[in-house]
Amino acid sequence: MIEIKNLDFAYKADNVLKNISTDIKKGEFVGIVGPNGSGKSTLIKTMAGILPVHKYSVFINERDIHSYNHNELARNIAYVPQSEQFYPVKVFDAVLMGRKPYIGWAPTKKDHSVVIRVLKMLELEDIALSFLNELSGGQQQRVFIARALAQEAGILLMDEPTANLDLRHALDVLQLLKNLSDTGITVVIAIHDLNFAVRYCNRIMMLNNGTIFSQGGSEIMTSENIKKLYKTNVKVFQQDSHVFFIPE
Amino acid sequence: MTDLIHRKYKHYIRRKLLFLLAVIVLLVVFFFIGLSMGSINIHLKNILYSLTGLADYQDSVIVLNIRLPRILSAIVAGIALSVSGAAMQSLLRNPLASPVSLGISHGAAFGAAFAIIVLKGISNANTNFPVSTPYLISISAFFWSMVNTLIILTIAKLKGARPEVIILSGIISGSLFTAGTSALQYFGNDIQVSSIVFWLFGDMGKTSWNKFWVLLAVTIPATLYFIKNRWNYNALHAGDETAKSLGVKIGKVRMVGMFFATLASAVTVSFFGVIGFVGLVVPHIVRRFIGNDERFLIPASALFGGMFLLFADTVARVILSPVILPVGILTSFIGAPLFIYLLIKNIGRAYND
Repeated sequence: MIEIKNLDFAYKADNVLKNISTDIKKGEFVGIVGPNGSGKSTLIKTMAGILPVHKYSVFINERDIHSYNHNELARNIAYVPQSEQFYPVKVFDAVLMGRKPYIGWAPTKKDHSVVIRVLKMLELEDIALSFLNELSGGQQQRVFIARALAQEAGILLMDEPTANLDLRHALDVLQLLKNLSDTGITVVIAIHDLNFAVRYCNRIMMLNNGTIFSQGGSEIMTSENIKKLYKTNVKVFQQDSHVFFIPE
Repeated sequence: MTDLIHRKYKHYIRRKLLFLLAVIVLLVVFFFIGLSMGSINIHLKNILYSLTGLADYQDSVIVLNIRLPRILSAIVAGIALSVSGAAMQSLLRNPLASPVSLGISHGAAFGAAFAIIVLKGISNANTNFPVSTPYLISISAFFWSMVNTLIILTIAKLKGARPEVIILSGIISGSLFTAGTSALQYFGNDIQVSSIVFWLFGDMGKTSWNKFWVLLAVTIPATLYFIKNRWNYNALHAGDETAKSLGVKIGKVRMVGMFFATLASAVTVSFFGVIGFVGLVVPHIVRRFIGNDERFLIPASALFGGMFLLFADTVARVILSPVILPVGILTSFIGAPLFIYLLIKNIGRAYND
């Protein structure tokens, strides 16, 4: 689904991403963790086609990302940034924007029916005609996910989807993303909270200083690895099948 | 439930369409009022006769040769300024973007001053009967306002077409041209300086059929381009990253859009002088009625701008009849208090960035 080969990326002189290689399969839910400045957001943006990458370094559905035109890429990858500029737009119209890669002159009946289906799926029907900027953070995040789903893309990339949410809304959003990955959508998120990451994601990718430090399931989340990554001591607990981290 | 959402949404869209329709109706009404009113009032019946070639000579001359080009020019100039303003505000995500704030008018003013003083656009300048060469002044005004555009777009291109770079370039370039205009005025004689001042008043009286056709030839493709790109502009509201992820070619959309917006406003200002506030205020008035949705904002701003300038010009023609005021003075008199009102009332609601 997403294949990355020896990816380097630099904003100016210093490389932010160094020799990243990974292969993300259809339906996986990948959580990218790592300290501030480790390159999480940059990696997500290179996958989304927002930051320019060298040829033959990022492949989407076995095709080089360079071979996609703008609209085609938007039909294959949906991206939700960490924070969006809010302006007064109705929820319906915000979600309809997800159909932009498909819309020629004007939205068709199909575009409207996709929007309504997505609104129902995310339980946004009641607020479909509310203004986006009047909603709570959790509702707004759902609207952005709805817009991404309206793109009908197989890949959903989100940069810190729980950053501005309270506990309940954060859990809601993560459960929703997990459900989406269960339906075959590939979900990749950058996330700070290790407890959330290990609980919801199938795969954790630990980034440190622009390189993949380690990746795998909950087994890589050892106190040694976390200490190396964050320079902080944590205690790792296991109860039933769940793993927890508490700073010492 | 599904049907209910769809019905409610359709209803919401219908309100915006109704606003568009109302503006079109007002535009048609003002068109006929404009043809009818002036130093000599002409009856509606005689206007229709004139338009169909059945009226007497005097009415025909007034309607077809004097009022019609002026009225059509006012409509198209209003469209050009306000649709450019709306596009600039969206492209730059800045509610204060307009042909004036981006320095287009300053470039044109410098061009006019340059033509009048350096190129001797006002000949016999030392006599009491100065003869002006309006085309030379217009061409110079256009040239220098496009130089201003070139400066802005070059800096923008070098710095990745970021909105704040474009706006700052416009302000800086505008102030450079203002300084240039002041310097030229300092060296001009009384007649030249007063000619510059008079040129600066935006006045639809400077129009002619030729100017109208040129303006139309620029305004139509620009407006169609903006309408074609309305979905891209909507996506830009959510920020560059989101827009890019929705398939918008940010750099191209912003640069080509800015080119059309500056071109249409530069031609308008070069022909008629500085007409303030239309490009800035009209999109804000329209937003109050139909919101930020570019699908409606772009065409509605165009139509409302045409209607607004036509209305202002008609008032300018009749308010002190037989003296005709330059419309540029009146738009500012109407525009300034209205803009302050909007600023206090709800402009913050429209733009949260």
